[in-house]
Amino acid sequence: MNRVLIADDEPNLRLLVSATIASEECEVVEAADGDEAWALIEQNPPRVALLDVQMPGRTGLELARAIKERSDLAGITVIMLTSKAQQADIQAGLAAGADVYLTKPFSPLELLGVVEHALETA
Amino acid sequence: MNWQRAAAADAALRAVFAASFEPNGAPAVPDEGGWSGSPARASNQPDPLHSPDTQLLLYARDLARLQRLRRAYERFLPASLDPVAPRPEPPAVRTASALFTDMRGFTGLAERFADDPAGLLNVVNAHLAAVVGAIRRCGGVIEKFVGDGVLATFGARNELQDHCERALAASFAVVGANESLNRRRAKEWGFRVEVGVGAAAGKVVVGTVGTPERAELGVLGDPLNIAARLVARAKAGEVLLAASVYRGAARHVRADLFGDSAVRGRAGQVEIYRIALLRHT
Repeated sequence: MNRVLIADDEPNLRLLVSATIASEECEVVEAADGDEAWALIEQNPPRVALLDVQMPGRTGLELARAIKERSDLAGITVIMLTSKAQQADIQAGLAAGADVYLTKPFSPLELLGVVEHALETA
Repeated sequence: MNWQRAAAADAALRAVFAASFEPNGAPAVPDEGGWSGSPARASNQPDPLHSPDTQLLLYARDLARLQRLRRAYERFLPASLDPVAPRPEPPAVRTASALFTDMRGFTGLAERFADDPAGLLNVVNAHLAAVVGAIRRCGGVIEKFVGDGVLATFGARNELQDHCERALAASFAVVGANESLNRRRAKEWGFRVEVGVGAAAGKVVVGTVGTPERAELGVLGDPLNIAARLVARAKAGEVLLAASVYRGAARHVRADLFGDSAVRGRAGQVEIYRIALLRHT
């Protein structure tokens, strides 16, 4: 079963993202802060991690760096999903290890395409 | 003897308990004619049908029947109705979201099943099962089935501050669940099932609709009419949203402005947003 982690401190954003990508072939797990997200990642690494940048606990950037530093987590595709949309923010996200950088408000079709592509190539 | 009465009460309660959870559970209690195969009794013997123990068992039987009736009828009612204490509700006005789903190309599908309408029902029910599951996961209440479509509300029967986000999430989930159904069954069926969604938000009233003889707890209001008009225009895999519902979630999700449009039967214009969830739309 493909596992996708959504880490965001806004419950309704998690609901919208989950509703967009959920399918019978995909298990979605949610974390309300960065520390909970890291615990879930270590416990059972997902194929895809959708990370907000600004969250309580570890930030999305810190999580991306931590994932990319661990060889046993190399299979995780990191997707930033954040309202930080300045060019400098995007560069910082990609530098931290994000494979894809998406901004809010997000396009459901674009998000679905990115996640499906990540799951197909994982 | 006290222990016999206690044992009878225990058996009766166990029977009711079992009947409450088993779909076809029936307690081992006598029917109106008493226990079948009961031995004949002498005229000077006490009547067992009127003993306290038997009365308790009869009570248990009636209770179990009521439980079965409740289970049978619950599936025909909105989930928010309280089956334990049903009562006429005073009308309540709330700000809520309404969502309509509708199968696309249903007329052609019905034609395909012209000689096998039971097969059509199977397809429609498989689709509706996916739709209902998706709506419920997002906190919606299924108000009614309208042919091959569903009317659901968010925040009509109970206050929901985030009814717009929930309705929007349900719209996505409906299309996604229908796609999962297509991945699972389209090859076997030889065709795809398509769905469109319309949603709007605003004030609604929840109250008893009908006459004293025949009534239902219904939801009425402008958002329901707008959502119904929008779903009629939504293409396969498409969600059409009134601005009233989209604005509640616009900071999260991007949508295309479809335009200001008149909605049939309404004097005012409605600002409509469109979200396509399938690549071919």
